[in-house]
Amino acid sequence: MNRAEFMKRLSQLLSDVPPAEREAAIRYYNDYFDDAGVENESGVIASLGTPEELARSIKAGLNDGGDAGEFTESGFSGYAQAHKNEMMNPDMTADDYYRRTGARRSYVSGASDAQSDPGRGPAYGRQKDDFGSGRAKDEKRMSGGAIVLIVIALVLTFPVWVGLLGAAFGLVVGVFAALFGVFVALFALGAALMVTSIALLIAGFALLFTEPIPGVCVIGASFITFALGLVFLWLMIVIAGAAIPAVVKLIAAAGRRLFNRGGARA
Amino acid sequence: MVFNTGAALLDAIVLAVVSGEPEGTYGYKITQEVRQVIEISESTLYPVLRRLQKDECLAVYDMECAGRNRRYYKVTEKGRAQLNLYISEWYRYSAKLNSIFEGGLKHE
Repeated sequence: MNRAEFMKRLSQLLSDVPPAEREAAIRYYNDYFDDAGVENESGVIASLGTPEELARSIKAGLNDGGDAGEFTESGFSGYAQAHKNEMMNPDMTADDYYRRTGARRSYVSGASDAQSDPGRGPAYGRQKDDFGSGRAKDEKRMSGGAIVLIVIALVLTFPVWVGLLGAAFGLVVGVFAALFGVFVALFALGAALMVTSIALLIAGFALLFTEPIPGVCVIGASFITFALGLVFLWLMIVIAGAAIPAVVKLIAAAGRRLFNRGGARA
Repeated sequence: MVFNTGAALLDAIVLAVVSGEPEGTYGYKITQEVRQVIEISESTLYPVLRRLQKDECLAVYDMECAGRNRRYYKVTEKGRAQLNLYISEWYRYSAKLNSIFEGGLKHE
């Protein structure tokens, strides 16, 4: 087979690809023969393999991130567009790039050098055949898989995050209950001391007439008790007026921070 | 060749070879230069060049040469950025491999 026959056969085999692609490929290999020179013609033909193999590699390349995306039985897959956006995003790090394009196929060096390495020929050939054709599908499968993974992760970690949520709720309720308890205790203490002081006052006045000195002492004790009661009532008012709003504010702030971080992560 | 050359690495090699010629270079020459360093068949590069062109990493233009029009490839701004990405990533990767080859990773 000479160059003319080779190119004619290649052109026939490429009759089902878009005309622009066919012309570009024919153009490229015509240039290639020209540049290799007449003396290398047979060497180039031997190295390119059969026209069938070459046509297959050209067609595989067309599906390999071509600008038209890929037309499959399930319709147009916009892989190329996504791929382009990735490549044009200057903020993206190399890691991002590889993670997102991780589905890329491997080329095998010497993909069709079956002649130079007959033992490996079949394996190489297989790899070559499917290189590219799987890219768009892999990308699709990956995003679907990611969603499934997230759902699975949420379900699997259900006991954990429900537990954490419950713990947080319990903590809030507990803090409020403790504050309320202290509030009630202070009120009871204050009220009891007040009542006691009034009782002591009455008892003291009654005593004053029969035994003046102990009577004065009891009245004094009633005053001290009254003062203590006032202290506890004052503490109660402080708790109600300052501590409870402060705790409410604290919890609200914690909740907001948690929420914001969650929002940023999503 | 013991090691496979992945798609990204092949892209990087082609971009590097093409960017070595500020005025652009052509398919046959690119192939010969790449073949000096890795074993590829003569048919491997066309899909790579075509894809890099579609990804706007390479631009093509035709230039008169010895009585015929030859198609030249030139690296675009985007191609240069992509090549820089590949190169920095390659240094990172090869440095890690070297550190393993040269007596195992140092445990921190």
